[in-house]
Amino acid sequence: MKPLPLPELLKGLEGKWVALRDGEVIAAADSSDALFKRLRAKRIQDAAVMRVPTELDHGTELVGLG
Amino acid sequence: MIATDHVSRSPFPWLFTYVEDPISGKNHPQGRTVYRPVVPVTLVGPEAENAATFLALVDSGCERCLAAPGIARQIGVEPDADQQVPMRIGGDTRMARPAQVSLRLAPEQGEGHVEWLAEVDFFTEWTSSPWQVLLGQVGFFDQFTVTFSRGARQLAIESAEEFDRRWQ
Repeated sequence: MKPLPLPELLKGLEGKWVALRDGEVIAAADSSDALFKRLRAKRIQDAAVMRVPTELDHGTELVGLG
Repeated sequence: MIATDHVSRSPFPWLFTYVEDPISGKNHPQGRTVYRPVVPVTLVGPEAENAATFLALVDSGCERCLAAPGIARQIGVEPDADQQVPMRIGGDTRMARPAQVSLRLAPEQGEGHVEWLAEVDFFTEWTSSPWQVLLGQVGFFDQFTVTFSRGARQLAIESAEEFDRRWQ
């Protein structure tokens, strides 16, 4: 199985909070609160959440907590 | 404290494929491709319906499990301010407050999961990291035998006893 290509998947979603399931972005929001509100309204429990770095973060390799 | 099954599951090992970091390739200052050992882990507070799943960085160099402050709010736990511990990370000192939560891990493919109780340190402030949870030695590596392969770009999760079976 190939590593999930997050730079490609998350292009255009910089700074957003996203939910991923089966290698696809299924929801995105400006805040974690808004994203979880949306996921819970749809009773989605099997998606994993992460924050997409902003364009300001591009050009800096992140280590651990960033 | 050993991970216990709460439902039937496919047998270990569970293989998890690394992900390509968001700051990788064209986004990286030198154009390097960066891969991370990441697994989806669910944090469960007092009310199971408020459980939240995050892509968590599996970090063998981290002593404890660490999480962003917003997660405590999402899952409805109140970290213990009386047990606050200063931690130095990346040259900065940040405050972390522990809370007992259940952690749940499911295989990348197939049914079932394992769930265990762990003390997670919630930072009072977070950074711009995409990973909201770090899985460290206490609370994660003490639950499983974890094997990394950069070549395969995968990590394997097996029972804690597997290490003894293999090496002792």
